Amino acid sequence: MNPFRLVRPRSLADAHAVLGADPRGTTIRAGGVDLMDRWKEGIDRPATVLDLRTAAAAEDARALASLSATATSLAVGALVTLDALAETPLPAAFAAVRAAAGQAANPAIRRQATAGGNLLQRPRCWYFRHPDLACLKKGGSRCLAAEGNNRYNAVLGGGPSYIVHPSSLATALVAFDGHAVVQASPGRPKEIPLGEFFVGPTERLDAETVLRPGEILLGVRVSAPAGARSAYDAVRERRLYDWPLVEAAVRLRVEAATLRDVRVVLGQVAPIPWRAREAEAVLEGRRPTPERLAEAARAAFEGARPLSDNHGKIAVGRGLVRRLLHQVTGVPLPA
Amino acid sequence: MARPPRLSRRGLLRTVGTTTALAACKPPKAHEAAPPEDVEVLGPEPIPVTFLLDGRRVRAKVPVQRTLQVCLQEDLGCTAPKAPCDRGACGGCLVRLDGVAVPSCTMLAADADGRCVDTAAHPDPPPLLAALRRAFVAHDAAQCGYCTAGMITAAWDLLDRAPEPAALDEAAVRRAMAGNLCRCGTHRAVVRAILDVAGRKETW
Amino acid sequence: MTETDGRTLAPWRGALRVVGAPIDRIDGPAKVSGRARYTTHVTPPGLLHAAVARSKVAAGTVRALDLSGAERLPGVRAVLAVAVPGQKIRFAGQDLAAVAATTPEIARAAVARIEVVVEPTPHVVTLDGAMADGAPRVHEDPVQARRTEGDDPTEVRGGGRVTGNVRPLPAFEHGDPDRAFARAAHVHEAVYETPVVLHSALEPHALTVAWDGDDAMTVWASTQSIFSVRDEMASIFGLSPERVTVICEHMGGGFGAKFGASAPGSRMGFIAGTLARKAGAPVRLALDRRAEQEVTGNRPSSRQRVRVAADGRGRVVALEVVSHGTAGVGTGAGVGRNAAHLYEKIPHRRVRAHDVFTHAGPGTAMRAPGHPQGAFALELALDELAAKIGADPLDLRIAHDRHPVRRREYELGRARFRWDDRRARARAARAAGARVRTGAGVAASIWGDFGRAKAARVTVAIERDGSVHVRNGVQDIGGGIATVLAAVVAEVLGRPVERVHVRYGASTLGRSVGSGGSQTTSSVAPAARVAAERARRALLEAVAEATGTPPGAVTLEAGGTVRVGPRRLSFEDACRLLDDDGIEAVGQRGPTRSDAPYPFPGGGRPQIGGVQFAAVEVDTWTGEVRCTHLTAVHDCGRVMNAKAAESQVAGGIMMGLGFALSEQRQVDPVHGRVLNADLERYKLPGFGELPEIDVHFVPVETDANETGSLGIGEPATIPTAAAVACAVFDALGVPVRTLPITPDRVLAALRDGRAEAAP
Repeated sequence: MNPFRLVRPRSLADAHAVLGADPRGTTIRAGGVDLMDRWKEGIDRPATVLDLRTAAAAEDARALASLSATATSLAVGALVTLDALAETPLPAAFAAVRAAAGQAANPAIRRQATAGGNLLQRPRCWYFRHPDLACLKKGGSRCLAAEGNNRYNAVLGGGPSYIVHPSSLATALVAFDGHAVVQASPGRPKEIPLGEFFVGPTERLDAETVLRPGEILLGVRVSAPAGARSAYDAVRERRLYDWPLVEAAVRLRVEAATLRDVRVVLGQVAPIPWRAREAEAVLEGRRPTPERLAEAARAAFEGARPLSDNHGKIAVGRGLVRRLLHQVTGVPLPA
Repeated sequence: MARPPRLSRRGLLRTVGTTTALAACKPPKAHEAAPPEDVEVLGPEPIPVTFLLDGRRVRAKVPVQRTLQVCLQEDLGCTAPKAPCDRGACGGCLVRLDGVAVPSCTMLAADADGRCVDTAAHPDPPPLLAALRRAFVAHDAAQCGYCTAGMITAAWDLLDRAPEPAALDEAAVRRAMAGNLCRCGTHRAVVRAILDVAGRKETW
Repeated sequence: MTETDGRTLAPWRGALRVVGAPIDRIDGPAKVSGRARYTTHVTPPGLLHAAVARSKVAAGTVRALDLSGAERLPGVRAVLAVAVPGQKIRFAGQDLAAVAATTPEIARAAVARIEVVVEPTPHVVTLDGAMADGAPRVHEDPVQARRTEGDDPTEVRGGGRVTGNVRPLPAFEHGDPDRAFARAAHVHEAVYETPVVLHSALEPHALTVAWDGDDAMTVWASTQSIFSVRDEMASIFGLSPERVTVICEHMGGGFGAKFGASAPGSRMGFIAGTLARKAGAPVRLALDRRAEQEVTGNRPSSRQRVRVAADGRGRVVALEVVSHGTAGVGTGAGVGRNAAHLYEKIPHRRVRAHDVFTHAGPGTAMRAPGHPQGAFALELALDELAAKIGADPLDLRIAHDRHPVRRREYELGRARFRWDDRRARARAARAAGARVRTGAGVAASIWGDFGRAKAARVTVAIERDGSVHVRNGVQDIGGGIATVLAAVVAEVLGRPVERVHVRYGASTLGRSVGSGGSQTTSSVAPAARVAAERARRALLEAVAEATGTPPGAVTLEAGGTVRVGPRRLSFEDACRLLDDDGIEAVGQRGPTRSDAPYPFPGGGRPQIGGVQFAAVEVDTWTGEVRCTHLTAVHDCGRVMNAKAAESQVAGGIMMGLGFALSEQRQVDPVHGRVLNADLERYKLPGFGELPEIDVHFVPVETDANETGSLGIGEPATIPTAAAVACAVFDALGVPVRTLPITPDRVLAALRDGRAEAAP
């Protein structure tokens, strides 16, 4: 880990001024959890570190640290900790967001890690994280997971890199319509639809979002149709604290005994939070019967292309989605 | 961005916990459009840090990239927070920063500047910490002991901030302790010790 | 002062006052207050921090080393080439060079500036790859098995001729298995696999060396064996062992990987000692987690082809295990005693194990070397056979086990665990095709009493102020031996435990054993009793002399009161009659005197049993497995401290659950690097894995040694994973024959099972 300049802005304007001076050489730090990991591994060698948290109390940074919700909308500031997100009562529509935040990492990390940092964390792929291995995402010539040990890598949407997106929070948020709120300089922030915010390796190798140097992620705003409900769950090899093998978030509402506005998102299976549109199509406008839910779960992994070691994710993921659909629709689970 | 609607007071307080804590030890100046040259810059040369460690003011001059855990161990001789994984993955380095248990290996020493750091080694333990220590001994919740200070810090945080400690059940204790790893396998004893203390608030 | 080996001591009978009670460990207050000092907390003045440059390739030849970049970095005080040009690299992480610097940050930065040219050569890191024709040879020369105090000392040593990368271990054969298999009515045959797992002590290996002149040094080490560190450091640097002082005040776990001055895959003692000499200052070498997981030892993998056969009357008649496993560049991929000796009523038995060399860090003893692997394959295969012949797994085990204590443990467990109920419920859920199933399994442990005579010299001193002191150089690795020392001495002298002061953890305090093979307690506690009995006798003699009382008329009563003829003196008053030197008595343990209750294979020492029953819950949709309940029924002779003994068992169970459900080293087949050299993707069991644990000890009175104590650390972890695997089989009706039993493997087993069942 190399020495760097640690800059403590007292306002968002300060932060922009610092960023503007050297956007590429400045690392924006929030909770700093993932950054610290990368610094220790030598994956990143920061020159200037801009500590966004010291700006949080300023009037112009209000959005950064606030969490607000109505029955159908949710705004999460980038500096809101995962713990705060998990422990704050939210409307039922956003249960998936709370659950995802509350199951991420471990309790102590959740108290330090922020929503913004979680969404912007880099892949946990063990090749990417290895200090001595040059994977495709670190400027190497090919994806080492594709030809190596890829137990935890992508089964959907992979190539040329087979990372999976690490953020459970992203999986839950993508189950809603919404925007990432991004600010490049003082003034009006721009809103990027979440569906476009996360990008896979065909579009970018150096990051997993469209965020550009010099831009600050202020937060995320999502909405849900009136009467919507949502749920998130994951299968882990270690039950209470582990990166999920597979995770899923579902949002829908039930109208006249049929399913509406169905969204199924899979996590830890693709380089981006993965909309399982085939599963959504199976359910949209239909009655939730056990058979239908099982069919949707199967459809969720339609088109999956496993690598050498990760085909098991498909069956596990199907079981998870099936169980989650029972839970969110209220169709009783068999014993 | 329009100002978002506020949550209930309780929700708000929880939400801005980090911010409030920051403000508690370091009151922010009123906002002004500060040019970058006025912004505080630390490093890359070694930097001074000052904070309250277990109630006592301490100072150290550390490399800017030094973690709080290394600062506590190497500069300040504090033996409680250890770095078994050095990645925030095991809970062995937990400290309470302004009253909130966080890993000290994932933060910089600079992050503690001006703040309050409490460890399991507190020389004048508050009654709850003292009760946890007694219970951990009584339930044999320390074998090699390397994870123990972190375990106790997590437990201290849990019971100190729980609105109703006696209402905590075993599942809640397990969830709260999930980030603390132990290789000797003291888990059962740890859960018992914590529930024991949680259920006898009169002893602390 | 004369020595006694305790031959004249009568064995303890019945319940005792202190020994065996639940006693708080004496190092507890230091540990729970975070004040306990571990190796990295020791900072002699001028301390430097070392870091090691490690090989980034798994195989190759060192061509050149350039240390100048490191030498030029301000703050660097010494630089050392550990490898030399021409040297072979056999695993990633192998030592290349090292530095000592004023801060850990500078040391790491300096290591990054060391340039080592390694010409890569083909490597092989998988079992299949290493056994394939034309595989790169890991060792060109004959291989010396590295053994430590963590290994079973009675294991037959040596190995057969190496063919390619395969080295046969000494085979076991009893009866005529081939003939028995040929005649058997039912034969089950399958392959069982266990992964390489990592010790993962929370405290990584660490060593601090301070030279005292040219011919003496003090070493602070995180070690399971202070005296092996002392002797090895003396040997490395040509010193007299007496001039090497080794201190291990507290240590953060070892589990088999911390014997000697070096880690199994890193010459830590040599590096730290040499850097300290070069720099003229004390040097601390503390490994980071990545190195700890990559080069400091591991439990070798195993691939076991098991054949087990029954006759027409449900008797198991033959058992064969042929195993291949990799300990990387090291040796020791055997599968323990289980298949060979646990079910002795199986008349025909054969075990053939092989080390398969790969270009990976060396394996080493890990809590019951070979046994958890062997237990898993053996017990699951037995259950598969039992299912085939319609036998109850528990009945089948009892019918083939001769150990009287273990047979009793099975029966006790049957009731405590409600075996029959649980099995019936599992059967019903299976028959109903339930989504969430439960299952019950049982497995057993076999271990020996490896306590050694004269291996420990314990000193007991009584001062004129009435204080009692015990000294021995043993390290307390968390098993609680220091507290046992206090308890034994308190028992003999009639003192409260808290009034006995124990000093331990330094080579200056008297020779002691390494903490491996579950031999610490049965080696050290008897020596403490011998010393304490001698001190007691000396005290009574001194009181008799001082009071002019006939020696036979002075006795020590319970509570420490000294009866002098008709008078009673408090212990303190009695001690005031001592001269200024007080009393100092040394004790050593005598030879093992009995193999009761049942001999370990080879005879001459007791066999330790132990059985565990596991209940699991399995979600057949997601493949998630949870161990919900674990009943452990164990024996370890006379329990010395009920609290610590129970903790050992609960801890062994947790370690076994990791082996069963979540732990496996992941290696990149292309680059030969460990991919999960961390505590994040290397998945130690946590609070979510904790089942309801019921520990029960069967008291066994044995005269094997002066305290009747036997070991428990290793037996506690041997059967756990096996019992869990058997329970999963019970839940699913199909076995998962590969550890760890992860969700994807559960679903794959169910799918394969359905495929098999389909017409």
